Amino acid sequence: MGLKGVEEGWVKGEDVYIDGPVSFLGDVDPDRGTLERGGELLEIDDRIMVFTEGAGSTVGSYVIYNMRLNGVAPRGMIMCKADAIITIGCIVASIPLVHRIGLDDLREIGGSGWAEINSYLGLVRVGAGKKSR
Amino acid sequence: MELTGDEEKVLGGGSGPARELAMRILVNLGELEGADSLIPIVSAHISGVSYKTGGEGLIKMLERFHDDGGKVSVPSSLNPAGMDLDRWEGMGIDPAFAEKQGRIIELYSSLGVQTTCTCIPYEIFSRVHPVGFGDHIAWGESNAVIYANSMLGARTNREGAISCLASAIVGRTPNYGMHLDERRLPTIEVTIEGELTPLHHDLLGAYIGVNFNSEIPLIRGMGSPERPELKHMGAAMAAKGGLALYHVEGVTPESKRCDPSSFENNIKERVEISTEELSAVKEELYPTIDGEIDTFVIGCPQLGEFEFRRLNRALEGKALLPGKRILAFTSRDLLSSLDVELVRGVERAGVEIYRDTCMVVSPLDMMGVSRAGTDSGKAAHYLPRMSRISTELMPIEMIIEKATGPR
Repeated sequence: MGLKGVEEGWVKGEDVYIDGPVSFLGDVDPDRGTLERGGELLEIDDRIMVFTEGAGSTVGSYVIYNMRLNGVAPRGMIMCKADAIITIGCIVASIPLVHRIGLDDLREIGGSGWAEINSYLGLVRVGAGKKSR
Repeated sequence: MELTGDEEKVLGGGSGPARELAMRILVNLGELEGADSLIPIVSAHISGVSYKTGGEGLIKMLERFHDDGGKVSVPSSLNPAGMDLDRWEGMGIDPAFAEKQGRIIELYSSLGVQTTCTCIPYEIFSRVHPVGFGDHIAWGESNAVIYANSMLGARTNREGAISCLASAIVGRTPNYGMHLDERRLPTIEVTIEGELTPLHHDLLGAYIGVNFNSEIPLIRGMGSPERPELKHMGAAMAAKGGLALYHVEGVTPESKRCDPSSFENNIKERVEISTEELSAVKEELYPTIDGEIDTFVIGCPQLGEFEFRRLNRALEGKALLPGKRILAFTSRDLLSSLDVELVRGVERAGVEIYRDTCMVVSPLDMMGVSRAGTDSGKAAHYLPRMSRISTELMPIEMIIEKATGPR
């Protein structure tokens, strides 16, 4: 599998799985570090976000940066396919991002409750330190 | 991606942290999009100017580039700001908003960006003059992107708010998409039946945008459309869909230079659409709204000389009814290039002219507007989404009739 690090970094922590594409402009409250999904507010502050892909306006990069400035940025992001908006947002906000993960693997990571990204070694761990690849 | 020695040096921080960050953004973007290299650009146009859309993140980002010694290395201009930079009080803008907006413009200026705030750099002589057919540029603002690619034959991807700034600083852009010959050939063919009115162009753009989100249309049967009509068509196409280029047979420069047999095999789908069908899809694309409309907004994209002349003729001998407003948006440079009498004529009828901004990026909702009429397919798309303003698309003649009363 071609797991690929976009913004480099080594982080671990609680993860949050988000169903469907994420539009940072619109879905995310950059003051509170929350994301709205189906009428519910999910905490993304200090979590590792696990989701398939992005959507929406290019101003979304600034929303990611706003979260960093407000101290409520996600700790990392794991995606099936990154796009320009999220890639650039993660670079300027220094949020480690890995992508090119298959949907089944993504769901497994998202369901584990805990993840570790080490983009230097090109690996993602899930669960209590269990190595997945 | 292959980098030159100089580019490697910038990426390694050898020419300062601002250029290093900008280079890192471009290299990552290029690798994501499968670019083989970076290519030099001759012009940049930067979106991400209004405080309404960029917020504090935009200010902090610009401060970071500024503190790190950033400077643009190619001629660069700005998209519309959230207010007329001089007459913001007359617009009803909150002073706190005005202060933040002023700070953004000041920071861009310190980076060496020309602070004319416009979405029609292609109609501003000093901006468009240096850009020639086939030139590589990095422009944000989707209507300017599609106009530059289609009408000027220049080459730019739909740049985001940060990537065009990074390109302006480095003077390069990743070589992919619209920069490549083979990615500019038409992929669908759209044949028009009937005579298009100006508003039909907005509807045609919206129809193509919705149904052919990432295609490159070749449009046939258009006759000889006026440039302002194509400006509106492209703006609607790029707002409703992700398009970056269209060809109009016998009109756009690439269609004139291209042998039809070279793209025959590239066409996936052929559609015909009549003016009656376009009128019929209007309700679906832009539903009629309830209630009396008191505010009309025109100039999306910002008004050019042709539109000012047309507006002046249509308003001759008329004045706005009490309680009715027409807000017109244009660029400072364009306005100062117009005949003074022309501008006075439009103002005498009661039209409010604002510069440096537009209805989409200014806080119209905070200015007490809740319903609006517009002649722009792009504005009618964005106003309900970005400012929660119920908006109805209508021809300019109807706007003038509703605002000044029946003849």
